[in-house]
Amino acid sequence: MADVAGERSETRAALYVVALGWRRVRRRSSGALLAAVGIAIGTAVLVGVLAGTTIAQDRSVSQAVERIPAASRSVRAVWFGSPIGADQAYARLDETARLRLAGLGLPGPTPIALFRESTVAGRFVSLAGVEGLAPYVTLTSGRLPRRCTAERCEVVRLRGVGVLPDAPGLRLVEVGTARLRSSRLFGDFLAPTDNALADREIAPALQQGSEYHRPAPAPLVVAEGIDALTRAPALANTYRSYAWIWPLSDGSPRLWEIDDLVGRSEQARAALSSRSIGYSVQAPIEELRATERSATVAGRRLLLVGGEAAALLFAFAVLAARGMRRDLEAARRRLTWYGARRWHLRLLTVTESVFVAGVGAFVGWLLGLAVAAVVAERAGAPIRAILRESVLSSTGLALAAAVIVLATTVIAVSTSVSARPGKRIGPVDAAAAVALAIVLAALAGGAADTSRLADDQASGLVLLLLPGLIAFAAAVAAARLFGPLVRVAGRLSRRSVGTRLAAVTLGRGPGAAGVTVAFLTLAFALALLAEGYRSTLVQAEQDQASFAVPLDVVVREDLRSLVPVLDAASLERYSAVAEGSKAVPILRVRTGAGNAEGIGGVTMLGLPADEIPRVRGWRDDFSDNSRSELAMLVRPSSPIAVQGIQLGSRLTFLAGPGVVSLRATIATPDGRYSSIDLGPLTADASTRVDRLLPKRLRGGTLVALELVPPRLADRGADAGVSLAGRLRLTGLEASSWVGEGGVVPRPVPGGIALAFRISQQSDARLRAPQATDSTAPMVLVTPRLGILAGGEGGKLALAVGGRQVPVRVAAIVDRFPGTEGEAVVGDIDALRSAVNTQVPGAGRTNEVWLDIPDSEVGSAVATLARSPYRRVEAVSRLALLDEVRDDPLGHGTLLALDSAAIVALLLAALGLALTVRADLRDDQGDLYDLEAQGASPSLLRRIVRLRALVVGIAGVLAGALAGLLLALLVTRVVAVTARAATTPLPLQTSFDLRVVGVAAIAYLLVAAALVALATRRAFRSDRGPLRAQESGA
Amino acid sequence: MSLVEARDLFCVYPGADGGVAALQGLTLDIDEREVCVVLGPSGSGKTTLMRVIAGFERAGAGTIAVAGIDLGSLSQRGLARYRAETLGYADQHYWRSLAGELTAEQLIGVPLGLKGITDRDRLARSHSLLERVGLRDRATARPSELSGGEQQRIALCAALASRPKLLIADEPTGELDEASATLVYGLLAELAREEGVTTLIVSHDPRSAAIADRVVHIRDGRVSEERRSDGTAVVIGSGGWLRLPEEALLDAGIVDRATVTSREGVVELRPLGITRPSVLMLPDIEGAAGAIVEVRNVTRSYGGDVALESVSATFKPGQMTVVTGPSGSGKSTLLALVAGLDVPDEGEIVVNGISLSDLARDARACFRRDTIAFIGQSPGLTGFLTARENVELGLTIRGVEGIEAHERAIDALVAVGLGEHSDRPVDDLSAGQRERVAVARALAARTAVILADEPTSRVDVAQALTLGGLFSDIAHEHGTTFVCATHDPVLIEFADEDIQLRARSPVPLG
Repeated sequence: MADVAGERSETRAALYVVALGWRRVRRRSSGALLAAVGIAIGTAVLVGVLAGTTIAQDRSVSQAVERIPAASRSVRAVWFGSPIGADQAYARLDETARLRLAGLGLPGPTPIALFRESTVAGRFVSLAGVEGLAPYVTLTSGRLPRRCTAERCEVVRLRGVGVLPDAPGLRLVEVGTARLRSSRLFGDFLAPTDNALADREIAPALQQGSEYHRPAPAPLVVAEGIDALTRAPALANTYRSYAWIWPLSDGSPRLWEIDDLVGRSEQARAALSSRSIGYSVQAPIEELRATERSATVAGRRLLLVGGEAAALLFAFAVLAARGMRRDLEAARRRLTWYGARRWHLRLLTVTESVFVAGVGAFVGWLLGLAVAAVVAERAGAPIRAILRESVLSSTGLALAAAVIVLATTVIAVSTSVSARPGKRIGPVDAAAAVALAIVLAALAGGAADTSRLADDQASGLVLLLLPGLIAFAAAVAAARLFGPLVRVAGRLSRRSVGTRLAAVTLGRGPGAAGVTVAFLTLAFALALLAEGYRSTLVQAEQDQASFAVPLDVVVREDLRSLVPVLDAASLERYSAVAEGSKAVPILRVRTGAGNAEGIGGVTMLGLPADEIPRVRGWRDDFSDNSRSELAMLVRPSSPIAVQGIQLGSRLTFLAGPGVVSLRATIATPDGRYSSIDLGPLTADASTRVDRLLPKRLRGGTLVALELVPPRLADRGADAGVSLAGRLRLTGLEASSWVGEGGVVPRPVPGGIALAFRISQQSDARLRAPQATDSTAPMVLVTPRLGILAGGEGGKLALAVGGRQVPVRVAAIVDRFPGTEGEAVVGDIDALRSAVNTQVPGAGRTNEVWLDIPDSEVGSAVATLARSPYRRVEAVSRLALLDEVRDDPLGHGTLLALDSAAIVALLLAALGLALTVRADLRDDQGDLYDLEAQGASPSLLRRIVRLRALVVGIAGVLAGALAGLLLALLVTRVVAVTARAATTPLPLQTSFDLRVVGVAAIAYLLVAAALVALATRRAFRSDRGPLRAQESGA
Repeated sequence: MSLVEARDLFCVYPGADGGVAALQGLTLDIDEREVCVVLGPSGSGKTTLMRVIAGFERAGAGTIAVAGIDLGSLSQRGLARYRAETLGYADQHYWRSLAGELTAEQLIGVPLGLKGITDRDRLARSHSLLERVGLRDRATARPSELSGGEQQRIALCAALASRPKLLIADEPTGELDEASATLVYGLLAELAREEGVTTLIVSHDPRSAAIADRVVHIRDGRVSEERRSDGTAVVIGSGGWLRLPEEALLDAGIVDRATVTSREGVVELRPLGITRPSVLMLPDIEGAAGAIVEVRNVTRSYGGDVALESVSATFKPGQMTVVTGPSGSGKSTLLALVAGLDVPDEGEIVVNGISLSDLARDARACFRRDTIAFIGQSPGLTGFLTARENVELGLTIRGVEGIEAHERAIDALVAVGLGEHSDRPVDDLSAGQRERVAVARALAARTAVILADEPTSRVDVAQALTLGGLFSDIAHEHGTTFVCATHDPVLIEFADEDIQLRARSPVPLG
């Protein structure tokens, strides 16, 4: 026999154990395979989410870049000035600019030169040169110019008329006309068309002003090439700007290039500025940074979803590892008999765990890589770059390593720790308690603050881990409660033998079933969280669209054209944009609330009270009252009309004597207000006022007479003293009128006598009493305004145009559709009257909400894009929703949530079936005893199935509770929308009950099918239970 | 010189009622190179003794030293090292020690691999041992390709591969047929002596005594007697504990009391009255008339292993019949066949004229509900339910519910002496009381046939006596057919008939 004593080696022993483990994994693979599959899928999900996040972020960045206005969508180095000396020769400037911005990594640059409008050889002209003009212009006649030379500089005309200069060394020859395709090339220097203002449909008054002030534009021509222009003697002293343009297009910059691009732009700016004061570098840095921030938040949230799904799969691996545990325990016991020491056993466990976890993680990693490549390819993203920046990045590789370590630990622990928890507190309970403590600490300490998701890595991490920690704690609690509950059920159940035996046998050893309950709790909690969060985000996007556009379309004044909505078309015409449409007039006034601290401005929104119940975007959590109740509260008790003196074509009355001038305020029949000066009165005699009214004022209503004091200069040293006096008005039915600003009226026979004390600081007037004088408009206010008013019933004075408009609080609402921040909402007639009483003309319809039948929205939107409506801005709710749906980040988030929910449910069903199989294997003794007592095979099968049902129901209930809690919590702490945008509208947790119902039914069917499959052959052997033991052994 | 020195070992397993003492002051020395066989019934403490010597369990009191190493003072790490350096172990279920993924030569090399022995030396040692046991040509066979005897030989080789000082073999032939068992015993003795290894064999099988230098009997956790080639001796433990052979006591008519007189060199025991052991009083519970159970030429195999071969027997009503035999002789299989939990490959089981083989599994379950009660090796009780609820649950399966089930349960529990404990959870009962609950469950079923498989394996002698008396009374007073598979001589003493399974054929002892 060999002498074995002197040739021992600990290293060799370790290698032997490792080899033994590998051999075991290869040959005994049933449990290991399931665990490896769980880990592989988990890893694949993680890798897929990591890459998918990068793809979604990249696409989001691309879209955001496309949304940057064309004029800014480039990095451009610019030099301004009139060149002096060789240092400022174009060639030197060009070399410097290119050198400093060489590392941008963008295609280009396209150099341009723009010479300011100036007289060249006696001709007034604007001149530009572009290196590579063709892509930037569309010919409208002629052809593209050839390269500009001193002898013949061909140009195309972009605008203007007039003869082009013909100077020595600069003979301009026009070869065609063209227009710019976009403002990308010249940015704000030149509009893309020859005259932007002329192209727009603007208010007639503006049009007139524009034409009056603008001289005839100089002709603008552009040449191909720059050199000849920069050397032309005729332009030597002309102020010019050179620009080198690197357009951001064709998917640049990518997400991962933003930092580099911004950094290099900043460096180049500093370098060029130090070189010449004429240099500057312009880049859309703020826009790119904002995009990056948004992408980061959304990306982290996607990781949250993916992380939860991966955690779930790891939990599944733990469940599956139960199959490994028995075999590994046997191996450890065997090796103990053979003299294995503790480190041998641990090494064996770790070796097998590493092999299972390593193989699983590697396969999953490859799978995830392949999926990521396919998704990237289908999304049109650069596959290599996406993989390099995600899966193959240092983070991705670290993640893979972490997965292996984590999976190894999970498998090692789950194959070492007893699956049947005793009565004592174990490490798992302690871990659950710690998880709960972390959650409570995070919530109490504010670490779960939404804003930190983007900014604070540590808090962000806590935030990301919160759902997992809560689900884990809930799962452990459910497993702990399961045992006592089934025992109670076992004692109390009298329904049927099968039910009682199922509960009793579960209660005998609830540990293994408890593990399944814990897994199911985790699975259902995460599935419900995923579905709840998805549903919440979808609902939030709809809510926000409805909140922003309370009916179907909001028509408002376009601030570029300044055409009031009712000038563009009448209310009736808006109603006719589509069949069945209704136009609702809206009053929107920006007001103040008496400089209250923290209240910058208040939106006053007036709409017909009857329309309040029909407004979309309303949520019941906005107010304790229903919309109908709110409508009733703000509805005026009687119709409100403008009060005053009805006018014909003339305004005639007798006034004076007095030293003031009079100004009349007249409300026109179409609801506008206008003032006309009636001139000064004479001091020593009455003055007869007799004015032929302008056409637009005829048939109007005189609502006020303003007393205007003489100009300061006319009053000399009395300028700082208020002006007091009396006057009489005769021939006006104004006996009931009220005086304001120091005017005190007194009816006298045939007219009204006024005593006044007026100054420059206040408006003095006599006005007709209005309906809202005695009853302030009833309004809905936001909570802070409610506090200012002293609660419901209180009065609030809103500042409009320097005057106070009183309103009375009817109810307090948290927010109201169509408003942001602090708001006052009331009936449009009442508010209009109140505002116009104080500031005539300030209360006018300036917005129209259109209620359009669903089938007509498309055609209505198309109609609104045409004249006359195109002069105003129309925003449709559907367009907002479409924009949301097209967003890759939002889309990706919802897709990830959907996937997570589906994976969770499938795994829950599979987990239940695995448990049934494990029951059949592990509880053979119990089942044998029952059969020995006379239980028939069919009863045994029913018991096993009922046990699965009990476990499944326990998991569903615990998971539903935990999921509900999770969804509420996540909605609260991650209060950003699917597109990772903050919103004035808080997210409201919602569940799509149809989806939940369908998912529940699908789960039940799949689980029932799997359980039936797993138990199909059980107890079928006609010989008896020993037959099963025989094969099992 | 002693290799193993065990002094006053106590080992108590925790239980709700304060624990179960598996070893109670056991003292034993095993000399170097000695082959010592420990015999005893189930539950006597054999396995615990073996586990204490192997370092898997720690004694609650007493000392144990092996090769001069005080096991009580070793840490877990030290115990592992002790097992690696000193011990060889062969398990009763030899297949459990054979990893299916390894070949025979690899299996034998495992202990050496764990010590870091080179592949070459490992293989050389494996081949040498394989040669020795006549399996050199099976070196590359995996366990699934070997017969039971071959597997056991491989397991023995693996236990001896690292040249341990002490070899412990637990029921080494428990799952082998007689021919294989004889061969394995022979090889074991030869190998042990060739290798110079001290050997401790734990067994039920009296044949193992043939290879022993010394046979030690243990009962109730103490050594009761020793047999050497030079005669038989009883062992006196510390404090004067003395265990006398059952047959000697019975021969002397001593049951539970004796008078003691002593003079120099002599201690004399005389029976204090001739009495039967006190058994539980059976109340007037309704019983079922017994049934004739006939086992006709039954053969049953599992895979390639024959568990029962051509066994015939008749179990009569009103009798308590015990089925005895070494481990693996097919006692449990026979009971399972009689219960209809299995069907024979050949032959038939006839109960009251009905051949169970003709019935489908569902029908057999139905038949069992009405006719047969089964007390398994594991009581199969639910710990969190009370004793009464457990009995009621058994009755529920048999279709008896409500007040009737309640009354039957109470009656049965009173019958087995647990009337006062009927509302205590089974978890709070002692092992013996639990065994009695299982008996009550069977009794409450009021069936014609009661089958019990090793019912006294977890109880002490007093309780075994009680149960034996109870079984006997049930059979005699109700005419029940009571069949009991057991190793326990105490129980065997109560039997009206003993059917001994040996060499795969029954040998009725009458």
